[in-house]
Amino acid sequence: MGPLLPAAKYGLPVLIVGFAAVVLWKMVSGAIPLRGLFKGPNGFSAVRLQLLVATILVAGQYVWCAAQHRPPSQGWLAVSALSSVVYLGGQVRNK
Amino acid sequence: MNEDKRLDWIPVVSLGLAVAVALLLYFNGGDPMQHLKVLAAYVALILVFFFGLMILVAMVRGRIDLSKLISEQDGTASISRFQLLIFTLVIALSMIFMLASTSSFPELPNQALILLGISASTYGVSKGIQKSAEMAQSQGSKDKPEDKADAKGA
Repeated sequence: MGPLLPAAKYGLPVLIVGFAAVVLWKMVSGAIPLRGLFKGPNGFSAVRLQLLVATILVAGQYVWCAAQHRPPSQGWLAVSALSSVVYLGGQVRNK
Repeated sequence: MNEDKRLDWIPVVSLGLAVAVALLLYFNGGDPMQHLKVLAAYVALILVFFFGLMILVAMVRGRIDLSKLISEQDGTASISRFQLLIFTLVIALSMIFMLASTSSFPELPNQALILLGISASTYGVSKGIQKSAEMAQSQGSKDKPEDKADAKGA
């Protein structure tokens, strides 16, 4: 296969990191608006905040597990699922 | 230079690379079927990389509008879309990290699929709730004039 594997190994990360960097840059510069991220129909929404906190925790834990070459534990999946249920419950209550 | 012409070099370079690989394999000798497999792998990699590069350059230059990437219809940011974006990027970067460290095709763990499933379902159900609330609201506003007319008739 020659240089195919090194090309895939270094070329594709450049693309994925590039996509992530562009999205992050556009968020920081305001081109992707984050206005109203925590806003519900009645002002500040705590269920949205808890979903974001749970998302960041679960994503961080996933990266940590990937760095150690092991799958994430079921407990973190349960945290993510529970957080989503709370968020959806909050949405149903508000409608 | 015209804005549309600036990316014209990308397909030319990708085609040139593919032809160069084909010529190298042709003059290398050996099993033709093996060469075909290697050529197909190279062409697939070149296509994916240069397609991705064109999209990336267009995103940087603002020719692909990302302003509605995580927006609701009313223009405010959607937390469920934001969650899906974070999980997608994190899982893609983790896959790349595993590919780089093991030099073999990484196996996507079930937990990652479940995580993406939870996120996508949250987004889907959230949209469903939103739509049904909107429909109920519009139905209510349609019914109101009739009720008034009935009241007048009575």
